[in-house]
Amino acid sequence: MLNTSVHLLFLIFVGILSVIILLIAAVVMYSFLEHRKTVRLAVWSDMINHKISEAIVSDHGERMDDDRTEWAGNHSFRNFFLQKLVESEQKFSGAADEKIKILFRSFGLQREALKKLAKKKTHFITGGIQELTAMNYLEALPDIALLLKHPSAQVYQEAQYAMVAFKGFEGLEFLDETAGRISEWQQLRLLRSVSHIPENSEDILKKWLESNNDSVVIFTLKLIRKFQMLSLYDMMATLLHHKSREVKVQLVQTLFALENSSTILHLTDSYVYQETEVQTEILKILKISRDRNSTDFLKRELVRHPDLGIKVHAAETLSALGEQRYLSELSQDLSSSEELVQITQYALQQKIW
Amino acid sequence: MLILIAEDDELILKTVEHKLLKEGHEVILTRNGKEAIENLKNKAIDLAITDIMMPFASGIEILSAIQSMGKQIPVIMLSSMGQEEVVLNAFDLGASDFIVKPFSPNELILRIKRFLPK
Repeated sequence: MLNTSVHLLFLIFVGILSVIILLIAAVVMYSFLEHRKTVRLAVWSDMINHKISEAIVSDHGERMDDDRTEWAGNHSFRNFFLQKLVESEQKFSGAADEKIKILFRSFGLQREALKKLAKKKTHFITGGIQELTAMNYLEALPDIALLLKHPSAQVYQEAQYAMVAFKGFEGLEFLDETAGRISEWQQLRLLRSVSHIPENSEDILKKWLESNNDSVVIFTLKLIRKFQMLSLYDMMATLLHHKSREVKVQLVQTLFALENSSTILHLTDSYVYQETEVQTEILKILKISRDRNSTDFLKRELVRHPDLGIKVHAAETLSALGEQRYLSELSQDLSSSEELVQITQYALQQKIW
Repeated sequence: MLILIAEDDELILKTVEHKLLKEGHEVILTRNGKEAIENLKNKAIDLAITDIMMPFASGIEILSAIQSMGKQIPVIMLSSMGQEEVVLNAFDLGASDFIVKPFSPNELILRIKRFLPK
């Protein structure tokens, strides 16, 4: 009986020991492989840095493919090389930037980037699009265009950005059909990438202003604002009756940016039909424009409007227009509500810019 | 001309080095601010090119060190977008010129030529 127990204990001990030895071996093996990988990446990094700096400094950009490294056929090396080229493209401009792109082509790294477009995982696809865009590989445009209708927002937004980065304003043609919402961040990226609008583009912009996709209308308004497309002012003014509040807020800002002698009148005329957010935006514009013709309108809003925020904006605008005496009288008027007294006193204390 | 480059980005460091060697200059490479200050103290550097953000001592600290050494060394700052405030500060401390990344190495060479002895 005792012998059996000792034998069993011994077996358990040997079992646990074996597991521990196996675990230690696995950790050592893993550390070794990681170390080998780190060393290999450091060697590759040096090699690639040398290659890129040599290419930038060389006078014979087109003949850089004469000198291929022994690693040129290794898949991991090629992907690492591609990653380093994209990083380096952000460090240099001018002729150096062009030479980086020549290096990309001479090593045929577009094959690695194009392969990523066919992957299932979205981060591979977006990575591939970014690489092809950074390297200005125009031949990839048809493949990237197919991704404009990809179900993943990450992918189609990257494809949208690539189209604009490659083709400028013309790359925005996806706006004709896009159904998904264009995020604020994406709008900003696209706006930054459009450097000019070709002549006779008014019809295209009008079409986008009539889009059922509110984010397309908002983006178009921002585009019009950036390029001061005065010829579209009348068309835009009709949008003051648009169904979307967000569109109208953006519209008020754009109309003011393209201001003409009737802008303030347009805005105050439509004011009564607008939602509170749009009315607030109009009041902000009146404050900036300091249009003295709107004084009576502002006094009415301060006294009669039920919304506290609107009252505050109206009071601040009156203060900016130099109506301190009126505000002061209102704050001392015994018939004024406590709320109105507080608002007028608050407006009187505001610094006038 | 003996030119010191202080830059922690290996690719930029190597590229500028290659370019300067090709132009016939002698080059000292440093990968952090402390190393750069040591070299500026001990060697007869004719011109320095320094990144603004670097380990151990920034480009601004390098400028202050040059000032306290009482040396007259032209310094070209390598800055990134959005570092306007720091660049202005650098000029107050005696920086001679600056170039914004991403930059063209050819343009850097042209700027260096302005400091060559006539």
